[in-house]
Amino acid sequence: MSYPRLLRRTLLYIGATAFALWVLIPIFLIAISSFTPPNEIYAWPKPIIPSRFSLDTMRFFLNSYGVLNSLRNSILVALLTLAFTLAVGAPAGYAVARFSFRGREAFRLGILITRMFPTALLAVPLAVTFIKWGLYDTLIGVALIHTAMALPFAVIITTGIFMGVPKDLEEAAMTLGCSRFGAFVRVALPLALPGLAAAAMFTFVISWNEVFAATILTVNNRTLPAHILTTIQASPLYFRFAGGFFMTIPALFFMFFIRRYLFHMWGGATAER
Amino acid sequence: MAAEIRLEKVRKTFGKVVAVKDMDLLVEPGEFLVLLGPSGCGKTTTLRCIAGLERVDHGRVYIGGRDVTELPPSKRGIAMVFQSYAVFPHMTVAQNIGFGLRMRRAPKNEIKKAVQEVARLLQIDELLDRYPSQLSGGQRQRVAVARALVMRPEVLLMDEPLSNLDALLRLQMRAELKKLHREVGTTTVYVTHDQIEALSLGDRIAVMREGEIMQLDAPNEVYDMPANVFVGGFIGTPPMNFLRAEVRKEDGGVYLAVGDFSVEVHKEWQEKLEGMVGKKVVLGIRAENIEVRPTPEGGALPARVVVSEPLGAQQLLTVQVGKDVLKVATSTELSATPGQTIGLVLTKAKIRLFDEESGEALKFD
Ligand SMILES: Nc1ncnc2c1ncn2[C@@H]1O[C@H](COP(=O)(O)OP(=O)(O)OP(=O)(O)O)[C@@H](O)[C@H]1O
Ligand SMILES: [Mg+2]
Repeated sequence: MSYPRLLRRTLLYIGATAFALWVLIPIFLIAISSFTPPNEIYAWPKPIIPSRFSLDTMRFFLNSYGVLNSLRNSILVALLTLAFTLAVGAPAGYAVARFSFRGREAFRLGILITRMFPTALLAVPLAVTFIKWGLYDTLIGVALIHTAMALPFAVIITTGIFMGVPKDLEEAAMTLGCSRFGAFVRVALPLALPGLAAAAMFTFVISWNEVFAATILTVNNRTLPAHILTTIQASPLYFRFAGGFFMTIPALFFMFFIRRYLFHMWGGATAER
Repeated sequence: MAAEIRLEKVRKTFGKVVAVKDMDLLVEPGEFLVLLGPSGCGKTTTLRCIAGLERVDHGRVYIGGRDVTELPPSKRGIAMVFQSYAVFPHMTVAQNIGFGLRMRRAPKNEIKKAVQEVARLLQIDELLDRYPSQLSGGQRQRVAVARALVMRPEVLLMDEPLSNLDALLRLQMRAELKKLHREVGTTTVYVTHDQIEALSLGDRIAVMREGEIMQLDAPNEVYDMPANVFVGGFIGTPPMNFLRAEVRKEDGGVYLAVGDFSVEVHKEWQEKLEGMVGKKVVLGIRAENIEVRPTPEGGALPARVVVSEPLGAQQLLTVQVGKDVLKVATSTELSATPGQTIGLVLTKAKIRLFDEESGEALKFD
């Protein structure tokens, strides 16, 4: 390896390491703290590695008033969002990938426009509308907003997934006795499944992490982040750590399982097996 | 079993591009018909119109006398082999081959038997449990053919099934496809842009250009009697040579003037050409019907050597006569250096004449 190349490499790795640390250290500290016995959190000087592994902090968090209930809400909202998003986003992605129709490119770009309005701007009119429609403080209402947020990504990701499934395969299935829909179900869908699962996890995480709309549109039926946000000022330090760590779990899980797949998808590559 | 295919005035356009232009075509039951033509001439589109993968703009498609124009592919009694093979990656070879029968809800044991039978025919019975990613290109191609054949279709459609194979394998598969067709006897429409493949496989060849069929004939006729300059220039390696000429008459004899040189014509043509004196024509002749002499002496057509390419058994000479460039083949013994003038003797009986303006062959019968 030549000298300038070596230098460039080294710099690249230093940069990457710094970046990784910047992201990982807070997560690490939060994770450590949430498994430290509550009284040790306040100790000073603080040991980096806790003296013993303890579930007390987590237990305290989960048993706090309202946490389990909002956790249940969060999961329900995320699942509803997932269902709505895939039900609308996957067919849209399929259509964009398979058919050429007037305005396809405009649609592909236009769908991103929905993300251009800051939620803060929409908050009051949304709340008013939701009250009018009886959706205010309901899980479905929150899920609908989350669907609107996740949909552009879902369409873009599923478009990529379905573009990766050759059209020929579906046509071959059609010549072998399948209807158009049958060919989709038997050939395109199984091949797209890993990608769709990734898109589903992504949608789940978007909904799980969303805090602003959830806070504004609910009073009693808080989702977990909304609940944490509204109670955090009045909570002990270890509650915050445990809550913080708990919130990161789906995202970590998601990254761990579909990381390889995401590279493929967003690199425009195909869903290979 | 084998059905006839009939296209009536079939047209298919994509935006402004006319891919298939009011095509009439009749494929006999059991026939092996090849669609041949340059890239983009509409071969695949024609095939897809027969398969039902494209809706025709107008015109009708009949298979076995049944009007299938409005039917989806699954109801047409066809099977298709795709250029990409389109083997399902998430199924084993056996599942791939059995897919169509499963869609027909055939009994399990029957499917199994049929799959094994066709796999034996194509010599892939050892591979039945593998996934496509574990197969070579040639093996995948066989799976695609097996998957189509197992359906016992009335019509088998193949779109350049050999184009992704290496030269040697292509040669071998070509022979096997021919044998297979003899054994199975299904009406077959086969798309290729490889003329050797077309000549060797087809009972008849339809030569296409810009969405139209230029000539539909048996291989030797397409080769020997091209219907126009395009067909002559497309088929054969090297393709047919063309020389601009004029019909002239002197001392009672009709001849063709190529520059200052006169080419005698067949006795039978003499009187037919009488009426065309003064007319400009294109003289077509294939390389193998031109004898090459070291010098133009003794009444041979003088030609200047441009390039000589040794091709093993023969050498291919590119020569110039007036403004026209010809390709001729000769033995490697004749030494031909660029710039040298050699002599060409044209076999009279093999000369074809074409109208200079339309490019259509002149018919004398
Ligand atoms: N889906 C499509 N959309 C738009 N134009 C198309 C489409 N399919 C084919 N065409 C056009 O129709 C014409 C005929 O295409 P076709 O694929 O039938 O050619 P082909 O003879 O099969 O060529 P090749 O030998 O390259 O496969 C081409 O000009 C092509 O660009
Ligand atoms: Mg083609």
